[in-house]
Amino acid sequence: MSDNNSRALQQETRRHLLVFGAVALGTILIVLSSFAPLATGVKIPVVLAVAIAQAALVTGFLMHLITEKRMILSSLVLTGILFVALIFLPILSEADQTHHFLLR
Amino acid sequence: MLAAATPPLDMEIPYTAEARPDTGVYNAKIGLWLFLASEVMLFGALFSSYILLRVGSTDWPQGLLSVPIGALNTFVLIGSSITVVMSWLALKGNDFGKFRLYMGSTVLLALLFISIKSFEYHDKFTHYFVKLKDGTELTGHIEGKPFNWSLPKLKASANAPGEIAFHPDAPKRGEPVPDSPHETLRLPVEQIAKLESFGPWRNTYLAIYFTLSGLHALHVIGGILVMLYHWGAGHQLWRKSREQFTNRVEVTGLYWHFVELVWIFLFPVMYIL
Amino acid sequence: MQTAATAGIHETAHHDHHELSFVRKYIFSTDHKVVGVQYGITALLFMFLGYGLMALMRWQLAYPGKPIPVFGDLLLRVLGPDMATGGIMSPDLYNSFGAMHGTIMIFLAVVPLAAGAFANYLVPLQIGAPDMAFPKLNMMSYWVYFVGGAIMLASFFIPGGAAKSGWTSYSPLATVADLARQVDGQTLWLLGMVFLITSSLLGSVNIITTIIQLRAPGMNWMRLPFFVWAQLVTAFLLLLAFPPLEAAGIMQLMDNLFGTSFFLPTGLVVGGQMLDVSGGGSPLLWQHLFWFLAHPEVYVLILPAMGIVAEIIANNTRKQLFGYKSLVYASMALGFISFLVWAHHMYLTGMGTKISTFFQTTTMMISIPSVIILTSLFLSLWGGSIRFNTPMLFALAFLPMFGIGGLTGLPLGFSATDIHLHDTYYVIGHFHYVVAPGTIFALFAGVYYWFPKITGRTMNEFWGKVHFVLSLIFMNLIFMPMFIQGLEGMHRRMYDGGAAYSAAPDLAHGLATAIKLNVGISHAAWLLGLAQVPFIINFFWSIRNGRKVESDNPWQATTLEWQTPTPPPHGNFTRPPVVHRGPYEYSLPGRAKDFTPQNEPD
Repeated sequence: MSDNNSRALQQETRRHLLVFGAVALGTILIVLSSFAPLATGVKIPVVLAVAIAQAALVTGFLMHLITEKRMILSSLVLTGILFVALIFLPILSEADQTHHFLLR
Repeated sequence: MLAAATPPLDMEIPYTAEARPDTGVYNAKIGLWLFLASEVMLFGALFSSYILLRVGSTDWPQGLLSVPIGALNTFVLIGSSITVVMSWLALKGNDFGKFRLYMGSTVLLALLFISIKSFEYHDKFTHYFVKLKDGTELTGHIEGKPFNWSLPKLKASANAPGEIAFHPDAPKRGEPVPDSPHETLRLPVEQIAKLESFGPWRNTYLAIYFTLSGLHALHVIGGILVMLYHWGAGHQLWRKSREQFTNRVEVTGLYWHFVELVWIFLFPVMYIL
Repeated sequence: MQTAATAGIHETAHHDHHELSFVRKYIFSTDHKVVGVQYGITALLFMFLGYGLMALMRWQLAYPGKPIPVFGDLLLRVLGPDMATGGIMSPDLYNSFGAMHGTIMIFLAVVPLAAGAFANYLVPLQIGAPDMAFPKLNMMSYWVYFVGGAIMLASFFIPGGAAKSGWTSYSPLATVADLARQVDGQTLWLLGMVFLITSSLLGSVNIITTIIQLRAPGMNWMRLPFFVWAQLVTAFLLLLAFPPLEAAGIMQLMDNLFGTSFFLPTGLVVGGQMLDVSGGGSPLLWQHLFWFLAHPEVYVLILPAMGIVAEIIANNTRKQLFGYKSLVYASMALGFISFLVWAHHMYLTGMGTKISTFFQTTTMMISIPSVIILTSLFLSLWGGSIRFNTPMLFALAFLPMFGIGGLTGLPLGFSATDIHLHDTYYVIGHFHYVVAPGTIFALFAGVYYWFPKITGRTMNEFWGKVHFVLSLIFMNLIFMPMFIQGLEGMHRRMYDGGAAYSAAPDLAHGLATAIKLNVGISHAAWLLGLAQVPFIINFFWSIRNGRKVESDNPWQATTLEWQTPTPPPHGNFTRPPVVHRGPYEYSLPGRAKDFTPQNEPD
């Protein structure tokens, strides 16, 4: 039992170190992209995509959301939806008049 | 009825240590995730403000912060969030000594983060914008690196200098190089129309930068206090209830990962984009 | 059956436990019932204060520029000649009172009463839990609220007076209202709000965790009393809607104290001078973030009230609620949609037509769950053998009053009609019908209904009914004429009560007559205050001298809070309750009694 336990712990440790490596790699990518001669219109989506991937790794593996109980996940769904609404609706309300690229 | 014979319930809140069977979690975990949900909305509102302010701006400053320093701080924070997981795994493996080692290093990394951050802040408050009465606008440093001067402060101080020695910034890539780039300028105080450091008042970019990173730093400091508590007074609860202590460390870890999560977005948004 | 043994139990409970000191037991208590009562009493006091501010403002509206009798002298002495020269309310004081009336009523009175007092006291009892999941956080939640309230109160006495930019604190007005002062009323308002938001965060995390984790065995989701469901949805609203206001508050604080320009646009001219700020901010941003909280806040005010009314209606009609499941799902839908309607407060900001269309659509959608809830409650009355006691009267009055409030909201939800009605007295009438004869009536109903559980004595029925009838009459006399004023176009923030309109009677035909209604409204408002005297006396008198209840379940109710000793001891239940049935099993055929408590086995 305890042997089993320690092996499982070792595995978990290895997985966490892997995640650490991946997140660090993401940061390196972001820093590199800041020096790359990219247009702002390209740079923003690229950098944000990397950041979102990092965030997914952190929430999924370090915060164990990927194996978390349904009760917790379901109480977070609403937060996710409202977060999106909070981020986008104010911009959309401006965009309506300024002919922003989002609504054109 | 027999109720009279039964002693009153002892006031024990259930599911503080063990998970409730039908929900599969213990109380603190739900509580902490709910707290994080509200934190998501708090930082979400600030990021939303960032986008709105930026979309509405005519001239968004870039390159005000040092990318290498920001990247270094990112690595520090990522490292600390690994050590905090390790400390929790150590407890699961019943190794309190190892827990202390990892928890201690998390605290040290967090302190390192704060130190680097305060260095960056200090840098902003010693960097100046000057507008002269003839309309010339300059940015740069004042000799002696004074902290957060402004024109009213300068005039009000008892031993006010008649002039300030000003080192203008080196021109950015693509800007025309002035005749004598590194010359020290002597600016008479009565010639100055406006003098301000690169604090939050300078422009909306710096305003949102200081607000977001300041709020984040407060979260880091809060985390340090909690983790120090576990590191120090942890012994007592560990002896009393190993399960409950492990739970506490787990939710502290969750919080700490969230603090890192915010930084993962803060870094590119403030330093790179 | 469940009643006989409890008095004895109560005694032993006291002796068995090591006696807590007075401070730990009544002041810094972690017992959810004590915290609930603390919340309740503090919130009722704040409600009284909020009413008082308005009563003074009504004098200025009815008799503009005349010294206030009795209280004018008091204001002069307490707040100084700047605020009340010769006992006349100054424009600044009027603005302060207006802003603080709203702030106090919403954030310090109604929400703490509905989501602090009632939720704290009742939710653990109704789900069969010994206490809240985090008792220490619960205590902290109250004391943080207390500090927030104290800061708000203190702001009246600083130079310049309390915040004066409305309870909405729109920027840039809120930032530039008191430019000369570094720390002004607005600064303290923001600081106070940060405390209140923290308090509600602690409270809502606690409520949700308690409901998820501490339900008694057998208390599955569809056996929760509707009140608990309403509180669960409310807690989620508080949890997720308040943080954006906290963010906005921090940003406005930065604007006030550190000279940032989050909400100050470029080229802002104040008092004929360009403001010396960097500019580039967005006043609209404040409104977005503010209403992201403040619209869900409306449902924070109304959902607990609906929960209380549902409990009382089920009990006093002696039958099941009509459509329990639709009530539950409708309240969830209400909670969700309430997050997506906020910008209907902003049609006049020039937000743009496409986004207005979106928010008009969601605004019309949200009336569907509201109507489902109200209809279910109305239909619950059908075929019941109704007991018309005081709590039931208040609960019954809630239904049409909230109905009027809700229906008058529809014209405000369409941008076309809102252009005319925006910022008029019509709006005041509308939301006061929702909150004053709506929510506050429900809260009164709750006080009368649960008073016997908390004190072991009932409040006086006769004086309760007097309180009810007078309140109902005066509430309507206050708010109904406001619709007429508003339809005539009377603006809601005029210091002189619209006297300026009568200077140009040919330009504002109806208004000249509409402002005459001010006098009647003011008198009704003062009489409403008098109508509360029976309640106040009844409340305090009954604590010691009310009729003692003969059982732990004086209303013959089914939910778990009535299956405890009276008042419930520390830890609540004498035996861990086990739930066998739904919350409203009244008048089951073939049983001796017309009610079957949730913990009664088959």
